[in-house]
Amino acid sequence: MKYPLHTQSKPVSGIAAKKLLEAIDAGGSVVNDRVLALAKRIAARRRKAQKNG
Amino acid sequence: MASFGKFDGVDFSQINIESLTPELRQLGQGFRCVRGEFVTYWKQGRIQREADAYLCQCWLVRVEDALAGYITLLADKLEVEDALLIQEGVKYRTFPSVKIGLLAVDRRTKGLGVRLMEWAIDYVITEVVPVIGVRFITVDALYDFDVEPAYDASGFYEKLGFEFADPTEALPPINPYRTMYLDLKPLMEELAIEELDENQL
Repeated sequence: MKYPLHTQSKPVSGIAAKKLLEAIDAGGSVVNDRVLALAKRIAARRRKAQKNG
Repeated sequence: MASFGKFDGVDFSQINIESLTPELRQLGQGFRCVRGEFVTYWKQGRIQREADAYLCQCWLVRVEDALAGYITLLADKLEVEDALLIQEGVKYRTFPSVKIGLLAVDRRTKGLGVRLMEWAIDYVITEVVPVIGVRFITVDALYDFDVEPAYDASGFYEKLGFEFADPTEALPPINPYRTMYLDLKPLMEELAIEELDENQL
C-alpha cells in the first residue's frame, strides 16, 4: 500500500488525549526522555554551527 | 540493510539543507528510496506542484548534483477527540501544529533522515514559533501492512520523542499510517536551559 500524498492527522484519543489535556490544563507538557535527548542534540548542533561560523 | 556507495564518506550530521527552488527541480536522477512512491512523487513533479500551490514547503539535501533526501512541511492542527472534551470541560479542541508531510532519503545515505527531522524541528522552533503560535509537530507515520513484515515508520519518530495520537489503535490501522505528535514546549524549555548554561560557561 502506497503512502498517500495527502494524509489527514487522526485525533488524539483515549489515554493519550487525557494525558495531553491534563498537561496543557496544568501549564505543563507531554515530555519523555527522548525529547530531552533531542534538545541536547539540537543544542549541540547549534553550538557546533556557531563555532564553525 | 542500508547500502552505501554513492554517498560514501559524506557526513550528513551538519550538511546544508536548501529550500526547493526552480533551479533544483531537475535533481533526482538516480534517487533511490526504500519506498518507491517517494521517488515517484518527486520525479512526477507532484511535490514541486504542491509547493507551487503553497500546500507545502519542501527542503532538500544534495551532494553535488545528486538528490540525497527531502522533507516537506505544512500547517496542521492537532485535534483531540470530542467526547473527552465534553467530559473534561476543556475549552481547547485543536492545537496549532506544523506537519511533516513527506520525508524521503536515498537508501545509500546514513543518518540523513535524523538530520532532516532535527533540522525541521529546530527550524520550526527558531523561525515559525516566534511569529505564529505552534505547539506541536505532527507526522503520519507510514504503516504498510501489504508487505511482510509490515513496514512501520513509527519507530523512527518514537526515537525522536514523538508520541502516538492513539497508542491503543488497532493494527493494522484503517489508513496506512499512524498519527504521532511532538510537544515543542518541553523541547524549547530544555533548549533555553542549555543556552543559559552555555552563556554561563
